Amino acid sequence: MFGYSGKILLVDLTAKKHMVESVSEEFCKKYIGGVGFSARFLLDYTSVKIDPLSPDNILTFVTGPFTGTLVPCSGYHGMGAKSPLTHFIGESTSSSFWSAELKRTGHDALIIKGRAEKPSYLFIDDDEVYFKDAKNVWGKDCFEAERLVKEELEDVMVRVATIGLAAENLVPIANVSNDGKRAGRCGLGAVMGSKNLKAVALRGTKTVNVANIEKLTNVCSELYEKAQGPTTSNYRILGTPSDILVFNEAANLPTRNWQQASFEMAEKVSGEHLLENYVTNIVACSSCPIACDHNCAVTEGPYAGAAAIIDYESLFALGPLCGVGNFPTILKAIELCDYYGLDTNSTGGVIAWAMECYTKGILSKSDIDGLELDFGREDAYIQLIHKIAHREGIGDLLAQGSKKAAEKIGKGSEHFAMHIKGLELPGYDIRRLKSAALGWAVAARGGDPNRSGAYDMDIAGKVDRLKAEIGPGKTVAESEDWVAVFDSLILCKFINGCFQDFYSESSQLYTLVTGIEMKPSELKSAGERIINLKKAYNIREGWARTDDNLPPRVMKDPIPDGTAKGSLVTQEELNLMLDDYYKVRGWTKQGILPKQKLIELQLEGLAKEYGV
Amino acid sequence: MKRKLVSCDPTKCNGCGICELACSKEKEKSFNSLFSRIHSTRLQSIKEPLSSIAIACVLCEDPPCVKYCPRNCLSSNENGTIRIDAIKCNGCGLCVAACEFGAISLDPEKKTALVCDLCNDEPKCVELCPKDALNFATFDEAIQKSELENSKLIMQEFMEAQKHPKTFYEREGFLPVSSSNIDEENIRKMIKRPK
Repeated sequence: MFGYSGKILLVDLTAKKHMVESVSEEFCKKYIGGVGFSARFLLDYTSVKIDPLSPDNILTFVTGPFTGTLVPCSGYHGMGAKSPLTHFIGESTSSSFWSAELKRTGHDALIIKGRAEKPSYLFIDDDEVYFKDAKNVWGKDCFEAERLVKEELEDVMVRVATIGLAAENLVPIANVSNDGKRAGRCGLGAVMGSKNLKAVALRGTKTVNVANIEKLTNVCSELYEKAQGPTTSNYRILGTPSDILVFNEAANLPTRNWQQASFEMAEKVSGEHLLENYVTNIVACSSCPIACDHNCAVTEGPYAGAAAIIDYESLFALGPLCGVGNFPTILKAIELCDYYGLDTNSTGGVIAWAMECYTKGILSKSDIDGLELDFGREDAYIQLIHKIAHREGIGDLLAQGSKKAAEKIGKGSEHFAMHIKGLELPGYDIRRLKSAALGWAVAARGGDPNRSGAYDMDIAGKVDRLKAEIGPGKTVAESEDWVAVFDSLILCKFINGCFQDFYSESSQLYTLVTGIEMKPSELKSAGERIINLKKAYNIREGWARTDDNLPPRVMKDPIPDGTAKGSLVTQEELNLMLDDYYKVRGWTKQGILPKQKLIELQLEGLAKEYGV
Repeated sequence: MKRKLVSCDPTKCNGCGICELACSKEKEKSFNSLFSRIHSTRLQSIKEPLSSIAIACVLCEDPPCVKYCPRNCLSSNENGTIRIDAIKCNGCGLCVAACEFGAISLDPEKKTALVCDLCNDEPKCVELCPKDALNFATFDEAIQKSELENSKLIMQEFMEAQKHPKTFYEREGFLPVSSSNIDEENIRKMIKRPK
């Protein structure tokens, strides 16, 4: 096969055994790779309603057909498992050299099941799989663990994906880190921790063959040039923090746990301010012509020495959302999250919830270990990150994420627990972005901008963003399909602006890489198929229409000030949009999958099991 | 004629590794950075600011790799590139050890030395580098931008991190020359910097 290696590595940690399964060309064309493969594996390799942190759960690492080639922004892998945070499908993507290395070991995907008897790590050396004792790395932070594994294997060129202390402590908002990048969302780190698996080290020496290398190189070369143009300039120059000022201006920057939509100290955390004062250098993931990762460092003050790669979501969640406007503190907080292996977005989200509980008297000083947790209290919020990772005192409650924490505390705190399906919300105030609100409500993995690009439509003014009406259903469905294709190929969404006609250009790339004929329409329906797969998984796990919901605050508390003053998405508006969306999708009014629809999408097996 | 080499500006390089794939594509018609004659390196101290650089043969005037080859498989071409007699070469790796820039590597399959041949003066890595970090430049131009010095410093640190060059060929599972065969002191004495 071209592009794909056609092989999947299955590792059973309980039995300390591994085997290789082949995938057919038909399978590849149907599910593409990345999150598409991952969703299929989850349906096929796990049984219903398992405990996400039990040995029965699987953890997948999946590359795409483009990984390891010259295709721009293709150095990506997707991860999947049943999420301990949402109890629905968990998926997240990460990038950089680990991804390409996995492909070069000669495997498209790695599926891990079972639980190691004692802390272990895996070393995959091309076809060989070694189960290594992790006694020297267990308990170490992500950076140190990566370094120690390399040292132990006596090769600094091996690539290591690792978990931190938070995941070892089974914190459901823990992530998996590799080459300084992370698969952050849905608590996949906790799944890895529950398997007693500290790290996956790779050494791949195999070649990635493609069908038409000359033409592919020419097409890629053109894309590289476009990637230096205006559509990527924000990512290249300021990085994703460029959004801060834009969003602040548009009253789209959730502040103090969504009590406001703009932040008076936005200037101090803006991409412009960072570039001038803190950015040390900019690095790229493998095969990326854009390079958006801005490394920041603090050289003076109490947090001198703090350094991390900054992106918008981390910055927003640990900055404005918690009312913190002092960048060195935010950088320290991000560094700590990276150190412990915590998802910055969820960590910021749950801390902001706790801050509001404190200011409203729902949590008292004695409830939170004597901390004073007003919005913007920097000392307390740094303390909380330590506590969450160690599950110590109040940290044990917060570690479970906003949803469970609010359920436990009650007293009206559910009203401002900002999550969808248990996943903390990212930094876009959806009260003024109606179709984005719908996109987030229906997203299989929970509140998330990366699973539906619908906010693009809002921001670009393609729909009336302040009004909910019949119509957003189509926008959201199309954008979900499109994102599913991106996450399966896998391409970074930042390259999107370099395509004029995404489906036709990417299907051409697909054929050049794999030699498999792919029409643009086929690629598009693969996207739809993948969305239906994820949905089928959720239905299997007990999903109901009420799970496609928005936090009460989004539906009841209007944006208090700024250009979008008064905006909210009411329950009626959401219901209207859900009806529209399910109809566009060809699902029942209750959002269940009809047999006929699944058969149309060549998912006959699923039709039999879950179709109505 | 002034010799020209592929030099890299570390202030522009961000370590994406596209040059390696471009090289592998040109020379092997497939994608595998282990076959690349240019080496993209990121000093991965992770928490420290990362330095990225790509290094290809710098065309030493008196190349230590040539001198140090025990089988005389290496020789200098007129344009400064190194010619390798792939039949005589048995992959001992001494040239890899001799190169202060880490520019030579070993073919993981054929077990012969690999080094940049400048693609007939049209280096494909330079053509594809998205950030224009790579230049096909003369020594003077490269030195002026202190690209060579930087390359070497970064490379030396990198090799130090790898406990010296052995990793370059051991990682492919070669039977390595025992490190006692490599007399580093001797190699260093023989190295003459490019002008």
